[in-house]
Amino acid sequence: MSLSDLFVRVTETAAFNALVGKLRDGGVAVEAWLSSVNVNLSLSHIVAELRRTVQDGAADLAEAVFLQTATGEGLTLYARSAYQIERYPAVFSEHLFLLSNAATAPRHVLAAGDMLAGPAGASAGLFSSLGAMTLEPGGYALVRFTAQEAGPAGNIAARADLRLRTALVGASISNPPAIIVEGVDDNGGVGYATISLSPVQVSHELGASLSVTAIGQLVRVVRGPTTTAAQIAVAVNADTLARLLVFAAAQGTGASLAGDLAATTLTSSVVLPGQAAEGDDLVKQRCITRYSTTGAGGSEEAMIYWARALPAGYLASPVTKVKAYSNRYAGSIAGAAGTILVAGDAGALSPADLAAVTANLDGKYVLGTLVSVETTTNHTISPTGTVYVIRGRATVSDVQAAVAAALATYQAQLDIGGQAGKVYRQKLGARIEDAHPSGIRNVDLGVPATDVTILYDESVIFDPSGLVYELVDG
Amino acid sequence: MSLAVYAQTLGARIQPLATPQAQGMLGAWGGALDTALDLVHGALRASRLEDAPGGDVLDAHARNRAFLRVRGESDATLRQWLRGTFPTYKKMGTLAGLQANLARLGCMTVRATSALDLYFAGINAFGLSPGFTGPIGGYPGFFYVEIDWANPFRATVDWDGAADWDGSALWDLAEPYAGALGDVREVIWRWKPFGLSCRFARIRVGSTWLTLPVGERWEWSEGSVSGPYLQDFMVI
Repeated sequence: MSLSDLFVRVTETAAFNALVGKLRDGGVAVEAWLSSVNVNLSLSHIVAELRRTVQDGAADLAEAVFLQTATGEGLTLYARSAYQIERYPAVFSEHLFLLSNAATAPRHVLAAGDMLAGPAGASAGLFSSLGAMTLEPGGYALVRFTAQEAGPAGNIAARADLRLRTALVGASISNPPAIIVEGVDDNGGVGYATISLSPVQVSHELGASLSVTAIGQLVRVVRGPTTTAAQIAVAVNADTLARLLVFAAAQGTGASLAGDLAATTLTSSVVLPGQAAEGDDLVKQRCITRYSTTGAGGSEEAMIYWARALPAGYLASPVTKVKAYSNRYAGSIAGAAGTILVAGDAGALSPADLAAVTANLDGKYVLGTLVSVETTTNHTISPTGTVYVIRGRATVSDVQAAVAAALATYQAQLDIGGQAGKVYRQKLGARIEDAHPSGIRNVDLGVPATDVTILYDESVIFDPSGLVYELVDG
Repeated sequence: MSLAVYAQTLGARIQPLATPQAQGMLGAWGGALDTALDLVHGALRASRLEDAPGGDVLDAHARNRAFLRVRGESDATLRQWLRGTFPTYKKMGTLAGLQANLARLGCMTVRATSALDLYFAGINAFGLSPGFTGPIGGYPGFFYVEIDWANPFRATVDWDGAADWDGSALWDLAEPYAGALGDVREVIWRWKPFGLSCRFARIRVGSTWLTLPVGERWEWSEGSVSGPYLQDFMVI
């Protein structure tokens, strides 16, 4: 019996037809079963359905005990029972949203969960507040929100057009590209949080233990070792100029300065990115590589397993892509050394995520081997060109969403270093064109004009915002 | 006893079910369910390594354990190999692991020599000398393997005295099947420790030793294989 024999499924109709054939062969006068309430006819249907149920169950069983065929829930159970591996669940995204209150508005005192917010005009994709807060008249507050739906759909872009869904007179909400949050205390007792500021240089003192200064395009908040994020928020809100600085920063863009503490330089309001549940292929990768972790010496496969293992305190590993380069260090061949490159679907990991992953790998390789755990560098490809949308077959917004989804899928599928060191222009164009097969007539791709070279330590990120959509009549 | 026969036997004792028509129905109904139950039993047998039929079902068991059937490997040999999955994986990252897995390819006698082995024998191999470039000086993590007799490689008809690759078969040896040398590389890459690099394999063919460049997987996948010491531990 081969695998294909085991995986044969049958419909009730096919099972019934086969049964009728057998009944005829057995001399049963099935032609006399004219009434739909004939007992034998009904019993034959019951038997056919019973066969279908049992046979499908057998196929389910057979498929679920082999990694090459198991999928979905069957794979989840098999991974758990055979490999002691749990599929990583979908993660709810968390953001810090900036709430502002009009000067003439009343004071709002809110408990955790009191506020709902979401994209303008959308009924889905809502966020609920996680923290309690008091919003003074004319004040600002940073509040942590969590998406109500798990997965990457909760990863809203900076400056998304948000609306409060909870009626608060005079209050509004925004999703700034950079905000003040509590920094990590890793500089002799003084933590920093750096926020971007555009376009002017401003300097302002808040007090002996707390100050806000502008350096170039950046605002730096310096706090004492015991100052909390909440105190910073209160102090900033209490000071007119500081408040303006924060507001300006929230509207602006910028980059961190060399020498700033990377761990505390935030350029995004995302606290925790939403992540889809671990896909089947990634579950299988962990199952297969787990055997290697039992070895006396750390192998390449074992490094891949540990790089994707669950870091302490995490619900899901932020790593979806790993490249373990034995005997490569700083890009070159090296003895007793190696480099492990990690990335998520969104590309490079944050410093905190990288530190957590690195901790997983500590001590998992041969003593005396110099191993560097690094995240990738994002290589952003911003295709330009015109997507021709057939009028009446799809709307521009539908096609736009489909193209964004297709490129997000392609981005997740591309390994570190691309495909053989490239992103092929023709394939990129095909992905865009096939994003909405009935709605897109064709794509006239401008950039990239040729295949794009991707270095061994780069993750590919697609930014489809440069594409233009044009309605055509077929 | 099949369900069809069971139902018919039972029915034969009860007059209304003993008629030819009724016996035909019982046989057909029982037969339909027997078909499904055979598949259930087949799935259960297939799920157990010991009961699994050979062929692609056994291959699937091998994949479950991150192995592939070696070219020409019988069901019995593969099943026996898979019974030792955990003891085998315990050897991962060791010379014993390399030896066990190369033996699957027919390479029965395999030795490894590291840069430090050579250094303590008085040979500054793989650039193992003070001041040499590299993170900790030279390439102390480099090694090479010797695949002695018995192995499945043979001299080719183009044999010319063991000069390097001459445009015919690879390195003056004939593979037992196309891709066998690639399989040797794969086994070495997979079973050696992370951070240590096998630069080449010396393969005994008759009374002569031939050299197979090994290096690292990434050195091959990135195009040109031009890394150091791919032919000799003294020649960069």
